[in-house]
Amino acid sequence: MSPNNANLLIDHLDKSLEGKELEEVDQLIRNDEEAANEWKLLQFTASNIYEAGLYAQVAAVKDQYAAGKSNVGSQRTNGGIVRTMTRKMMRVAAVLLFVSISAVLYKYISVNDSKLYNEYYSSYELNTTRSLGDDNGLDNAYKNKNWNDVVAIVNGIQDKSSKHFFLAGVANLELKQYGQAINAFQSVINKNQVAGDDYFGDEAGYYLAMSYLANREADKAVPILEKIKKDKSHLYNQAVSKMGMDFTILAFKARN
Amino acid sequence: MMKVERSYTDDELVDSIERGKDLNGAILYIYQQYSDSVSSFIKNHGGSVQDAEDVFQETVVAFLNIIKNGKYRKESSVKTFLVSVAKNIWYNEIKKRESSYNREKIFETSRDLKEADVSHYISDREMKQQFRDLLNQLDESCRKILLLFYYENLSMKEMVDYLPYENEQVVRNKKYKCLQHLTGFVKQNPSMIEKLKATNK
Repeated sequence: MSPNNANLLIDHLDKSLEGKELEEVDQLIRNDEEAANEWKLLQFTASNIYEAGLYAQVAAVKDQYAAGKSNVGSQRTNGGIVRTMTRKMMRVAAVLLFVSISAVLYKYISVNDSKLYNEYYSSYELNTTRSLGDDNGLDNAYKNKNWNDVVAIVNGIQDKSSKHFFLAGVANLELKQYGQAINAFQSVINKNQVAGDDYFGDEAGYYLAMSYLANREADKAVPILEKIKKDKSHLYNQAVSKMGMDFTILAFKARN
Repeated sequence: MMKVERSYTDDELVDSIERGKDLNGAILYIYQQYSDSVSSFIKNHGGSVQDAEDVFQETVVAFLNIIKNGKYRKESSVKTFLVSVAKNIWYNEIKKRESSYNREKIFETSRDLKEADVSHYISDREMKQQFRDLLNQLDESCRKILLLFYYENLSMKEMVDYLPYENEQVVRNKKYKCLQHLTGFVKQNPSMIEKLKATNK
């Protein structure tokens, strides 16, 4: 099938054709067996992509539910006594209200960029797939957490890839060299923009935000994290969602 | 601590799913209200804890799909319907496992999904998993583009905000390639092609 016809079938699938063009593609599907088969394959694929997305969304809520359930389990007490003494209940309610307000105030005061960084930062694990290639020395140094070696190896590489910049970024972050980490993650993003690629793109975005938090630049971290939070297909969407109220407070503080 | 943001009547729940309004809230509500009873059923009928979790997750996906495709007829309560779907998924699963389970003992009654013909949504567990594996074989940007378009239903213009591409045309061209890449994977998967042919008969 010609590339043009293949793209037209996709346009038809996406409901972006109308008029004569639409009629022509319908006719193509009716009269050309290859086109008809390709059309069915496209419909099958699109419907399964939809279902895969739905599956991922349900899985994310399931995880949230499981996490909440384990919290509830740990907080459950051995039954309670039903108290009918209204005055006593009111006292308890007043104390609870006071405790709640104090807790909210404490939460508001205590949340800042460093707290978020310290609580939610976890080092990037280089998986097997991503460690394949000609970077054995670098991969080994990274896996052994020899951060200075990682930075030195990457500095010695002439034509750095997104992966090189990214690993150097994490190494700098681990060495608390936040400015260099920011530059390295920014290089991944810039490189991808030029190449029209997304290699290590999600990772670089998230770790760039973490670097800004570590560098006490919440105003720069918050917009990146907000974007990740809105993007359900982002690799770190769950990680940012888990920041919950802490992130909401930090975002509020960063804007005011 | 997790809490139910709101509670739903059956009609409100179905309506919320149909409209895609606060879908996460609706899914969470389904988990909070129905996962224990459905899981108990699976565990009482030969399933492990993991089986119960998996079956309930697929039950929820099937339920959402059925509603979104306008196949839910409201002839039974949501709970009854979910239990029926879960039973069917579990029935198919143990049939596939062909182990020492005696299906007739496990299910004293025959398959009891009385709603519309929704078998399409609850079958092919394995095929769906295979498809998710194929989707995961795409690079991150491709996967993201396809999910943003075919699942999140975003326009090309909206997608630009979530992707490292300069304009809609670049995203459109990339999407053509990604979809063709994925259909290429599907074409190389004999069981999936077989399934596709069977559904077209």
